[in-house]
Amino acid sequence: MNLTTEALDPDRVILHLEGRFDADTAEAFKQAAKELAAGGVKFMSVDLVGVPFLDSSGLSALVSVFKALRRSGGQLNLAAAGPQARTALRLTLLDKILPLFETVAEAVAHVKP
Amino acid sequence: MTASPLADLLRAWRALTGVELHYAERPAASAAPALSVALTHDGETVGALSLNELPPNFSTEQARRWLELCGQLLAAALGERRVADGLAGEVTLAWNQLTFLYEVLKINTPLSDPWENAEKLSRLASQVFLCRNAVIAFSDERGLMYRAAKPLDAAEVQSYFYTVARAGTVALLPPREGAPSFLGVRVPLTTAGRAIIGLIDSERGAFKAGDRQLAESLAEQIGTVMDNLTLQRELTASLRMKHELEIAAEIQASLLPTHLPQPPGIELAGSVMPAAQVGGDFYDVVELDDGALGVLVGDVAGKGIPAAMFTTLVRTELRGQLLARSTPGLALQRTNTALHPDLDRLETFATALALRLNPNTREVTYASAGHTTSLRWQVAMHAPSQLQSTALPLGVLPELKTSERFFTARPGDVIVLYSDGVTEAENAHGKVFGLEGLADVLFAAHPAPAGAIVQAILDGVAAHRRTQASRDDVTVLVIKLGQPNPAQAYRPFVLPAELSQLPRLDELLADVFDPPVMTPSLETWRHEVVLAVTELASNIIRHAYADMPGSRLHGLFALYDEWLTMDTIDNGHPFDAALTPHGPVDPQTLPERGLGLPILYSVMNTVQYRRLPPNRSHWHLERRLPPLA
Repeated sequence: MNLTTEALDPDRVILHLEGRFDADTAEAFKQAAKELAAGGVKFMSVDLVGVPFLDSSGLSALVSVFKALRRSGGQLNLAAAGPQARTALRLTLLDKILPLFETVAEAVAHVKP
Repeated sequence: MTASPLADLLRAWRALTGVELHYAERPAASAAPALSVALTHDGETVGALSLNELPPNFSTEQARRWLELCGQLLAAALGERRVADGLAGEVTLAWNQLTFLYEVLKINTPLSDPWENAEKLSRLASQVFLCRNAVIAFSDERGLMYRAAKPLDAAEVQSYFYTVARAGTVALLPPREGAPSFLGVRVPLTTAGRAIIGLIDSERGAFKAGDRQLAESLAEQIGTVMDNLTLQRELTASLRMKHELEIAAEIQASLLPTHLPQPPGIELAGSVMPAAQVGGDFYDVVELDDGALGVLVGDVAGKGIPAAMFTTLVRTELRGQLLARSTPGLALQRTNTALHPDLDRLETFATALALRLNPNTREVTYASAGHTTSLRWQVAMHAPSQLQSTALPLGVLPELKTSERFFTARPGDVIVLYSDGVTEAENAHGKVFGLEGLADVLFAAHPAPAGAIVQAILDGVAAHRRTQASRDDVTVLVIKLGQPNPAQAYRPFVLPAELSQLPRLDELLADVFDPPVMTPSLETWRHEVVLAVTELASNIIRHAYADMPGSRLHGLFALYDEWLTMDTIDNGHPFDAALTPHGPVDPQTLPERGLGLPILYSVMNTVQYRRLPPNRSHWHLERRLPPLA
C-alpha cells in the first residue's frame, strides 16, 4: 500500500491510500499517521478511493488513529470508500462511528470545525 | 638470397599470403592502411609495417597477429644486422622462420590436436632454429606428455620444465660443461596444466635474441591451440553427459501411461514432475480382462540411464504378469525371479507395489516389495494409513516371499501412490515435507476430484519448498473410489502461511464462484465472503502460526447447489473460543483489535472449529448462496 500525505494546514492533512489495506499493511499506516500526529497534525481525512480491499486490521488501525486524534481534540474522517470498504465498515458497525463522506472535498470541509 | 632481410621478408609475405606488405621508416601519417604495426628493437622504433588489404581468408585478428610476428622477426633481424652488418645467415633464418610459423598456423587449425602434429613440429623447429633437438611438452595432474624431434627421456624433459619454471617464462642458457645450450619458453595457457617448448643444443653455439622472440611467438600459437583443444574436450564431455540425461528422460517419459482408464465409479489422475536428474520412478495402470484394474508403482535404485533401463524392465515384467492374471503377490514373485540375476549383478534393487482393484465391489488386493510410499485416505477414519510392505525389495534375494493384503474401500476413499520426491522435498531449512505434509493436504483436499487432489499435492510440495529446487522427480498417482462428488465445484489449495498470500483467497474463491452476471447483491455477497475467509486466514497466520515461520495453510472451497463451504487445516497453536472474542462488537467501545472473528461469525451461517489431535486445527465455514440473477 502506498500512502501520500497532502498537507492543507499545519494541523490538517489528507492521507491518500493506494492498495490493499490489510494485516500486511495496516501497521505501516498506523505508524505514519502517529508520526504526523506527533508533528502537530490534528485533523486527518483518509482518502480510500485507491483501496480495493479493507479488512479488520485496516479498520483497527483507523480506529486507533481516530481515538488518538480525538484525545488531542482532533478528528479523523473517511472519504470515497468503495463497495468492499463499505461492506467492511458495515459488518463491524464502524460506519456508525467513523464519519464517511462521498468525496474528499466533503471530508476535508467537515474534518475541522 | 639478397642481402636485405627486409626485401626477403616482403617477398616471403607476398608469396605466402598473396597481398603486398609495405615497409616505412616511420608510421605512415597520410594513407589509412587496413593494418599497421610499429617495429621496435631494444625500445627503439626502427620502422613500420602496413597492409592496405587483408590477405584472403584472414580475419583482422589473424592478420594483426601475423603482422606482429613479422614485425618481431624483422626488428630482430634488422637489430642484429645493425650490431654486426652482413649476417646473411640471419636473413636466411628469418625467411625460414617465417615459413615455419606459416606452417605452424596451417597445421594447427583451432580444433586440431597439437599432439598429432607435435612430432612434426618438433622436427621443423629443430631445423628452423638450427638446433639438434626440440621438444613440446605438457604436464598436468595426469602426468607428463611430450614429443621431441629426436629421442629424449622423460627425466630430461622434466628437468627442462624446472629450468623454465625457475626462469619464469623464458630460459636462455649458453652451453655449459656437460650441458648443451638451451632455449625454453613457457607456453601460455588459460586452461589447466603447464606446457613448454624446448630447443636444445644450437648448432650455432648459442641461441640468440631473435630465436627467443620467434620461440615466444611459437609458444603463443601453440598455447592457443592447446587451450582450444582442452575447451573442446570439456565441451564434448559435457555434451555427452547432457545427451545421456536426455536419453534417460526420454526412457522415463515413455514409461508413463499416456492416458489413464476411467472405469465407472473410479477416478484416476497422475502427474510426473521430472527433476534435473532422472530417477527410476514409474507407475502404470492396466485394465484386466476380468474388469479389474491393475495398478503398478515402483522405484529402481539409482539414477541416469541404468536406472531408467531397469525401470523399463521391471515395469514391463510386472505389467505382463498382471495381464497374465497373476495376483499382485505372484506378479512380484515372478518378476523377482526373472530379474534377480540382472539386478544382483549390477548391485541394484527395486521397490514396487502391485495392486488389483475391483471397481464394482471396491475390493483391493495388494502386495508390496519394500515400497512404502503409498497411502490410503479413509473417509470414515479422517486419517491416512500407509499401505504396508509385504516383502523385501526386488533383486535382494533369488526367491521373493510375500503375502497379500486385502481391504474394501469405502466410497470417497482415496489411494495415493507417490514417489519419495514428495515426502522428501526439503525447504530452505532442510525440513522435509514428510508424510505429515501429505496428510495435511489430504485432510483438506480429499473431497475434491482426483485431478484436483494431485494438483493440491504438487502445490503443497511447492509451498513447502518455496525457492528450493527439487533434486528428485515428483510423481503422484491418485485413485479415488466411489460415487460422483456431491459438490458442483471444488478448489483445494495450499498457501505458504504469510500475510502476503492473503490476496490469493480472492482468486481461489473465483475458481468456484464465478457467476456469469455480477449484480450488486452478488458483488456484496462476494465481498462479505472474501472478507470473512481473509479474516480467518489472517488470524491463523498471525496467531495460530505466530512463532512458526515456514508453515502452510491448507484448504478447500466447495460450491454446492445452495451453499459455499470452506475448510482449512493448519498445524498452529489451538484456537480457544473461550479466550478469543468472536461475538458481536459494540462499536461505541472503539475496538482497536479483535474485529476479525466477529466479521467471520457474522458473515458465515456456520463456523465450526475442532482440534484434530495431535496438532491439527480444522475450520469449517458455510455460507448460503445468494439468489442468482
